[in-house]
Amino acid sequence: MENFDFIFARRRQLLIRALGAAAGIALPLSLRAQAILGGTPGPLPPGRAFYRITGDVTVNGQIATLETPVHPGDTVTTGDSSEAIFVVGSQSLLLRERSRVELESAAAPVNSAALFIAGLRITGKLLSVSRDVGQRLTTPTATIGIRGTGWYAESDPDLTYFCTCYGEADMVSNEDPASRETVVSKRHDRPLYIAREGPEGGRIRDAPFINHTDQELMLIEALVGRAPPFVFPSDNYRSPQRRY
Amino acid sequence: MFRSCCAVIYGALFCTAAATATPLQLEPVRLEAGIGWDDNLTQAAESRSRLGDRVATVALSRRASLPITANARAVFDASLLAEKLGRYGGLDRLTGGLSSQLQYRTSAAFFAPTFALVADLQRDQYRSHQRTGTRFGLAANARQSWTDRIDAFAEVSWSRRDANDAVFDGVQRAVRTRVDYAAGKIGSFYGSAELRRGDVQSTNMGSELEYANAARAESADDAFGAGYHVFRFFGRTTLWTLGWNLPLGAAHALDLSWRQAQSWVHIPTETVRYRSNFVSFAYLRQF
Repeated sequence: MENFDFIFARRRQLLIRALGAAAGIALPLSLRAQAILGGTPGPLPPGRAFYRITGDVTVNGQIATLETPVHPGDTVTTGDSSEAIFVVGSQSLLLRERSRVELESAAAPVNSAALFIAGLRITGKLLSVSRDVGQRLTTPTATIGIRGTGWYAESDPDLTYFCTCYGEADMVSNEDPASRETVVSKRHDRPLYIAREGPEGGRIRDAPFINHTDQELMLIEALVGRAPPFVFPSDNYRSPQRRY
Repeated sequence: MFRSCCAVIYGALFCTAAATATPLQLEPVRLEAGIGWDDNLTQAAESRSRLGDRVATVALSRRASLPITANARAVFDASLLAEKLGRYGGLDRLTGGLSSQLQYRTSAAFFAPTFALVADLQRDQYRSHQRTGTRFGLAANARQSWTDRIDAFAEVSWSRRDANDAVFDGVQRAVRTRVDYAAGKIGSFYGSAELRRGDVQSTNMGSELEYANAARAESADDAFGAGYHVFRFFGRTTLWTLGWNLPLGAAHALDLSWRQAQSWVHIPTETVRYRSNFVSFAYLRQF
């Protein structure tokens, strides 16, 4: 009898090890397949913040994995040739290479159960979508009040690029309060540069459309269960491809 | 029939444009300049008749779209293409085209498919008098993102060509699929497969009796010199294309592609198969 127990125990152990090994192989394979074939963007499972991590991404200085949580108060950075797509509450963000974003928490949260980003400080390039939430974006040259919208920003020490992809934004130069603009946009209607240098009242000027696409907006909106306000993505914002 | 269908679709789109009174949304002008090599311009089965040549292409196109409802729009494409061959100048051509699409997308969601009805009209002006003529086309297609890297496209189409010489007239039905794969910074890869049934042309040295008996039309070919005869058969053609698009910033890209076409034609004594390969390298720009 003891012999049989011993044999069954060994078999059970072997089976558990085999299943463990299979799971150990299958999970990385599934992640690898997703990395190669692409993901299917949709609302993330509860507790998960990252949809995709490419290259070197850190949260508060620690190397991030897909399981790393992100909360208001955290700082996310990307290295060379890196990108992070993540969600905080109902806000979805795409941080491009060599970028850093500090997510500021609200002093008095509107809803303590909700994750709410009151402000963002960025250097580098960030695409973001949110709804019905007012927040402040701070760059080295500008402060931008955002009223729940889709936007894309590139921030250097001397120049900020800001596109109100849709929604409304108020921007003011950090160095010159007389330089201010309010943009109400349906679809990338008025991208702007906010420069450190320039004449009083004239540090905000028109900019071309650069470095983000409707397809990316659709992707990050899908992560929080929404869609952009326009139905047809435009190919204008992508590099040219042969038509078919 | 084809002209009537095209006229109805064009008419409907223009009437819609006028009725909605919404301004056309013009997209940037697109320039494509390329160089390619075709190893079987004659589409000949026999090696002695197979002629290859270098093909230089410059194309300009512009797209305009017109919102009809939140989920539907009309899309118009105008294009002008010039093609110059290295040796066989009879195939040099200037082509102007107009295309209209009625597109419907079910929603703004990431995976929402887009459906379209398409009508094409194209005028070819070849140095070869026989080939000069007009093409009409009708198509229905659908496209959808499968993942955030993979886009898929499928189309059924009917096309007709009216040329100066009846040997270059023809009607074809086709089904086509294409998959695009976005590979990040190294650009995107694409592959397409197409199956056509209908008229195919083949130019051969001499006028062999079996070919002449099976052909729907035959004529001396004015593009390849004396001794070459062109035949029109009913046949089946498969095409596949593999390509790589490398973006160079937002407004520029390079494109490298390889297309292979194979046609099968039944003549009383045998099944004749032609195969041609076309490799092209193109620079694309929008402004």
